[in-house]
Amino acid sequence: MRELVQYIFLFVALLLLQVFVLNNIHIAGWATPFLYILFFLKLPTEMSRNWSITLGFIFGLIIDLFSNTPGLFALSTAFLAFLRNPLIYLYVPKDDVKNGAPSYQTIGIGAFLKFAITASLIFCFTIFFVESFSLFNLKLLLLKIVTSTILTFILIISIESIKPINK
Amino acid sequence: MRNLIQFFVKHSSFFVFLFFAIISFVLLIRFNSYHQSVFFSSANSMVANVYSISGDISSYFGLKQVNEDLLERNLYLEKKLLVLQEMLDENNIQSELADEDLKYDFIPAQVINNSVTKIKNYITLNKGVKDSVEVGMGVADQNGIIGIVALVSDHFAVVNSILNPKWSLSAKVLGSDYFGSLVWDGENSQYAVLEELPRHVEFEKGDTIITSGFSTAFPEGLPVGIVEGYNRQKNDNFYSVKVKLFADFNRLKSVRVIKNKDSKEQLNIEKEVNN
Repeated sequence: MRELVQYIFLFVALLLLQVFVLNNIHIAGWATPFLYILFFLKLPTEMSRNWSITLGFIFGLIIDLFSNTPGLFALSTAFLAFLRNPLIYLYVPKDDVKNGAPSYQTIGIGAFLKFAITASLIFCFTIFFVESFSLFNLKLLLLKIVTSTILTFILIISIESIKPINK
Repeated sequence: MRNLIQFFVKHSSFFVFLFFAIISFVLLIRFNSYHQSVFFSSANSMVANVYSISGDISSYFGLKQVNEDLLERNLYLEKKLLVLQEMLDENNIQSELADEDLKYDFIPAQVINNSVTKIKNYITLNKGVKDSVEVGMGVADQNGIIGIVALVSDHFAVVNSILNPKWSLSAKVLGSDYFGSLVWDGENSQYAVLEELPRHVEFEKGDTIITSGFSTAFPEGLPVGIVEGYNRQKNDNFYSVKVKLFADFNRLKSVRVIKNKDSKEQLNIEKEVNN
């Protein structure tokens, strides 16, 4: 029960932070951090995949409401949630996966870093690719993807590093 | 049959994802082809109310600058007023323009949401149908034009900003009557491109670009930007001019919505001709 409350708190906090602060940050005009995907990285590994995809879709839809982009965030977050588990199995041998939220403790620092950067890359790629269907500029697109991935990744590992040990 | 069901159950997560992906695509495509549903845009009152509150809070941070801008503008207007009054006196013209005679009316509004780095940028204002804002009205701030109203709900309006591929406005070079089409190329929030300007038009770097008045959204003569460079468009008969916009999209706060009292009549006639 306590875990559920913690998750709800994380959900609301990340949502508000993303919508009011992070969506407006554009380093050099290109990079935008998408910290809210941290929520999906932290979902327990044993959670049913269908539920995490549904949660992803809903979360993305709420962010869409705030940013005038119906479907954009919803699609990218659902996609990320869909690929989340296979992604973990990619970096951690299947037997080693313990239950609970992925973090430095449960899957090791190296694996978590790789997991976080791949997740950021997939997410940023999807979002900017779908968004650019109207004005297509390849150079700008690649620049946005790379810089946003790096920025999101940095934010994710910073938050992860300062969290208390037994979350 | 059983094998089919087993197949679905085993790969259920893929089908769940596919289901949501289809919904998202439908949303994306609908959003692009029709006028956006008011529910989904940020004119939706719950979202807009939240933005209103955050806008109120953040407006305090810009008060000093806003005050300075206002003082400057006041001084400029008072000077202009004196000059005009002198001109009237010299020519012995007595005229008091009644408010009803003016073809254009201004509705002041505050920007409560803005974006500059997306591919399609929109601006949300805190005035809506109850304040007589309608779709198609032009929006400008004290520096220059910023967009056209795309959607209204009771108390809020969403504006297509210049920084949006749906935007296109007829604009001309100050001093000539040749007009072109002002669009945005998606690269920089300070520059737009004036296309389809005939090659024989004379202009230089530093010339001002103003609205041509051909659209019902803006009266003629509103400042748009300054020419910064130009090159020939592909078919060689027109110039493509790089315009530095006067309005600073990173700092939009107080704007005015321009109400054109003759716009309905003009639009109706133009529609009749096209039928």
